[in-house]
Amino acid sequence: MSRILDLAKRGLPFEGELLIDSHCHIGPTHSTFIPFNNMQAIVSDMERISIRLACISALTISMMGDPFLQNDRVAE
Amino acid sequence: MMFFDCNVRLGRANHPDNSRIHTVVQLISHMDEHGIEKALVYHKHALISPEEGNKLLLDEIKGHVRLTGCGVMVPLNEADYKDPEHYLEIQVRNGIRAVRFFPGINAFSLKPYSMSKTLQQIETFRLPVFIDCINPDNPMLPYSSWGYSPDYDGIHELASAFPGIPFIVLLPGMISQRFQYAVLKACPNVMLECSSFGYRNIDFFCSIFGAERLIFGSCTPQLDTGAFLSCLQYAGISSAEKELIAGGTLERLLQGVRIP
Repeated sequence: MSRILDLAKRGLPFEGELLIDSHCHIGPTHSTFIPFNNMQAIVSDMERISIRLACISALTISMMGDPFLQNDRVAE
Repeated sequence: MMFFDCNVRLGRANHPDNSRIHTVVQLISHMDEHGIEKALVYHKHALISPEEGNKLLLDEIKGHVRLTGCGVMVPLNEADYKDPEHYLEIQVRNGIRAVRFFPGINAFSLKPYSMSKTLQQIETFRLPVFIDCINPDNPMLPYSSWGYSPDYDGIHELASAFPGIPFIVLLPGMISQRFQYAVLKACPNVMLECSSFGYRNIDFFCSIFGAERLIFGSCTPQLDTGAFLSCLQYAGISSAEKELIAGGTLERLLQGVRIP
């Protein structure tokens, strides 16, 4: 069994492995609420699971809302 | 942690990709590989014929103590059932321990005018009721439940009318949280399968309503078992809460079934 599979099966952090989350969002959306939807919560989750980097964008840019405003929020 | 998967299918589907696990031997091997101890299973053929499919299920799982039978039903009537008055009693005697409805696929209403007589019988045996509103017209289901919402209005009406029956909503929807919150708040007997959830919904619903309102299910073999296992393994909740969701609550519900 690979080390990553072994860790995943036991719900343990991936310490020593390089994990990059290529699809991550932040911010509100029109059709639902998203609990713990803030940078502190996301970073805390990344640290807990050992994800080194996340590529993040606002959730609703592609669907509705002002993309300039939302990109500014992400940049902040 | 003991995992008891509430959402597993036996039987061949009409596409080979969707039928890679369809026998008891394949299923047990898959469960072993994923560290799943027990499963509540229904039979694919029961979606076409509940009477035939539920019998096939009971025949196939006979002697396999890790598998518990979940009967697929449509509302009791004289056309679908030879003996609607006694059908459920016979099923429970033969080993069925929960009931699953597919109102979308089997085309019937969840409203009380359609369901009351059936639920009165179900209540007698204290069977947990699993509601799967998957819609055959939506080709994304069950692979993505983005934009999909079960019939929460119908579920709310039924759960309010039958407060003694535990209702478990399968595939509750990735962006249906407002419906989910409202129905959990209004009906203490409604629970959600914690598959297809959005970001940290397990943590959120646990903190508001308690872990006993969530039940682990994987939609095996259509969806990836490991994905939903990981959602629970990595949730930001206590070990005791994870154990309830993983199998503790389902086991308690099944122990409460009254066998005639």
